[in-house]
Amino acid sequence: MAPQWLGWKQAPIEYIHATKFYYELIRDGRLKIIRKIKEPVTYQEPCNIVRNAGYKEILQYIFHAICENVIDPHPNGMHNYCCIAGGGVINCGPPWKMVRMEGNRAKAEQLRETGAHIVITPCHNCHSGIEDLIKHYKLDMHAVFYSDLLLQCIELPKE
Amino acid sequence: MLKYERKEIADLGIDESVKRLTPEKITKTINNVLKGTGARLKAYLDTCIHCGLCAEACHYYLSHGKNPTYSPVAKVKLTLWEMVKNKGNVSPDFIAQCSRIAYTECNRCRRCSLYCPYGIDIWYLIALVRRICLLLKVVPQYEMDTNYSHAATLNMMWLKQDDWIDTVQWQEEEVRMEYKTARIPFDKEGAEVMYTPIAPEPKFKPQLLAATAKIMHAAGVDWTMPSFDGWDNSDISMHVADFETMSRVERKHFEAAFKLKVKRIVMCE
Repeated sequence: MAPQWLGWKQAPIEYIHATKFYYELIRDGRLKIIRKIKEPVTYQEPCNIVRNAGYKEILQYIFHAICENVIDPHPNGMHNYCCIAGGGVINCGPPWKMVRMEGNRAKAEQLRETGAHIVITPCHNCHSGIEDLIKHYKLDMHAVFYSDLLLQCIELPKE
Repeated sequence: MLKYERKEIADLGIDESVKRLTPEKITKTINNVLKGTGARLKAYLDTCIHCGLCAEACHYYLSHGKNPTYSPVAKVKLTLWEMVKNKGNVSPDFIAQCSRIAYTECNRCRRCSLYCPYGIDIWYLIALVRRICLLLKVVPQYEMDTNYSHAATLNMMWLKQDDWIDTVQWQEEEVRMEYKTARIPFDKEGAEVMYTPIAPEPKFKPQLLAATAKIMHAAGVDWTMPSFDGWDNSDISMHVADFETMSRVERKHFEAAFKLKVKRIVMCE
């Protein structure tokens, strides 16, 4: 939206989300995956990159590259539910926290049904939003930021 | 008739701000915003057949026992439609209600638009409401504070430049305890990519910067981050609908990439 406000037809330089960059690094063999997460995991698909930017396959590629047992939530892909933190809602701060908690029972139930104990979150908003939901609805799982998991699985140079 | 009933929530940004509104100011602001919308708003308002298919798409609606006031169409009806119908003559309390609906009961996730038979971009309509509330300065206090942070510091967490540099160098040290040749290269001209975090990383979770550095090190990426303004890729001003500040923030972000002559920007979010 900003490029148009600035009088540019489109963004003046290519910009990508880090998930796409890491996807390229794995695909091209620049990052070597030497171990995989064995526990069952599920995931959150951020609205901005999945519904709006079409990154579904990119995220799937990363999840399956680093995890052995990926449980899809339902609905998923571009029909997945929002984490209720994005769009500036989490930035409304503590007075509005319960609006978020009561407003997303749907997400909590969707995650509970997967039976997984780990939710991969590829977005900071989603991460905070889902951690709050997990605590509020006492879900037996925890949210893990995707790059933390990736770091556990890649080969790092020995020094 | 839809009745908007909610538990009261105190928020200075809304409660105190509406006290300063006058009927003239409200009408003038609404009509100025609506004047600038052209055919798009008219097309959306005229095509909506009130079928309610968007309702089932909204997580707020599903989570509140299918309370119709949480459906996307109701959120528009309870805000923008009233403004249009009354030609901008609405009360300060009504503006407070609009602010609450637009800022706290919609995530701009756009799921509803997938289910609308006409593909109406309902988010656009909510964004118009946010724009009106912003111009009337009736915005939840925390969110407005974040917007002011963008306006004053060009990042969302009131970080000064020295805080930023210090945090990155501290994390670089941490990484180099394990990997002696790893770097977090500031201001490297002509690097392959410029990586930009969002300000909550250096503010609350600096270890994420170290994690990024390790991944970049493992893959041997030629990367850099700016030590100067433009290092934060977040833009809450866009969500607040303060488009003037939004543009300043994003221009700075792009200009940082030009200055460093990188091929592309990789954003953590």
